[in-house]
Amino acid sequence: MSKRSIVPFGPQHPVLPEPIHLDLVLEDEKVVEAIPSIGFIHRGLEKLVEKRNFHDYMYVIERIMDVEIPDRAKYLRTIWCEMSRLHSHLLWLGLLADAFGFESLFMHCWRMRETILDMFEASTGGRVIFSVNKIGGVLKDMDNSMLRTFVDMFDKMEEEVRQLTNVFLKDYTVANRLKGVGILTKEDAVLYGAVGPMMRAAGIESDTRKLGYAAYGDIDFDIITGKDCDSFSRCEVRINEIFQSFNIIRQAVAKIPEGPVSVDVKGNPNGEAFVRLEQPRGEAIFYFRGNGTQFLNRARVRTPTFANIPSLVKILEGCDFADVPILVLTIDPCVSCTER
Amino acid sequence: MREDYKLTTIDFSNLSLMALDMKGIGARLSQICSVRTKDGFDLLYSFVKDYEFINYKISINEDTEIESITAIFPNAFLYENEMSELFGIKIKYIALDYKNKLYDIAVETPFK
Repeated sequence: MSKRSIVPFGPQHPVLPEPIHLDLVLEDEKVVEAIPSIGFIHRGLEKLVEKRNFHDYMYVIERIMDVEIPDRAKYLRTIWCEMSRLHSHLLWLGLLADAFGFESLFMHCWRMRETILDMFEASTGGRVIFSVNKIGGVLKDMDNSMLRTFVDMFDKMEEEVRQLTNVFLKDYTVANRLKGVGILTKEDAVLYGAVGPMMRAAGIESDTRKLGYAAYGDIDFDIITGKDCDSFSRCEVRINEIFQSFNIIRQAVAKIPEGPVSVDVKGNPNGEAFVRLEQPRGEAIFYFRGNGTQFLNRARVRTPTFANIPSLVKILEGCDFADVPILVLTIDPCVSCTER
Repeated sequence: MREDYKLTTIDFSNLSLMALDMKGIGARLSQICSVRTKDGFDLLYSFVKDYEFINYKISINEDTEIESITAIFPNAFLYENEMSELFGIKIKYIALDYKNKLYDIAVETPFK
């Protein structure tokens, strides 16, 4: 047996997009074990929610208070959700390109993402955190001319994105870094609780949007899965989800009904509820318990990255040390949300 | 459309049995959550099988020690370390026990 050494990796490291820490146990250049540590940027969000009002959390509060929001608000939420998926996946593709040293590809991905952020700014006033939802609906409407303009912009962008994603899917240098690397089998994806593109790339057909929340019940879309269970497969799933998001937005704009975008909600939540949502990185779970006052007894947020960390540990076992940055990226980590 | 889900209350002595049942049907552990109550804690174990969302509630006293389910669901280690560190819940046999070093927090067991 080779001599073992432990390499501390992160939380601050040039190749890491987010401050996660891993203790990598190495035998020569092979990782035999990875021990993750989070907590570097823990902010106690779940505790803070007990001491401020609950108005930032719509879906769960609406569920506890049995609030039915107007149909137009459901469609607007769906459109903004899919725009979030677009910008998140383009951001991830850029980071991936940067991780394997393809700088021009990175810049093009982020250039296109900027267009989405500009659209967010035009429609909500914010660029990433846009605070447009409220309990009972949404704070702002998008008029139909804005929606048509957005669809025209997405039509033009789709062709550009296709050229860009062809590089990811057809360039042999990209395939060399991703194919056969970081395999997470279907069985392991279930055992380690993987979610989102990480799970679907392992061939599991599951997407929380199929539960039909917001306007997803009225939208026709297939679940995108991969078959090779490797890093390339995870990249492929996210790329296909970009085109799926364009399609969902087009359908939502075509079907959006006229009408109000919010209803008045009075009172405070009293009771408990779980809500599951499909965020760009995967299934997020929210559990809130209210007590009839403006403060909650408990607010639990389980982010997709938190769920994917055990799968990351699994795919790091046996990998080359040089592949660690790519593998960390393939779970699309958002450690800031994970630590709450 | 709203998701309906099951929430079943069980005794803490049946925790491992429940986890084995869930593994037997091919469910994945999707989260564990603790809630402070007047007498102790409510522990909420959530599983997903296809699109079915299955939840179990276990109410325990402050002094109750529960068994880890990491031998059945390896991904439970993060949730259980969180429960132990933030709520002070006693859990034995966690496969990877951070000994209250998961989060960098100034206050001991802030949710207790």
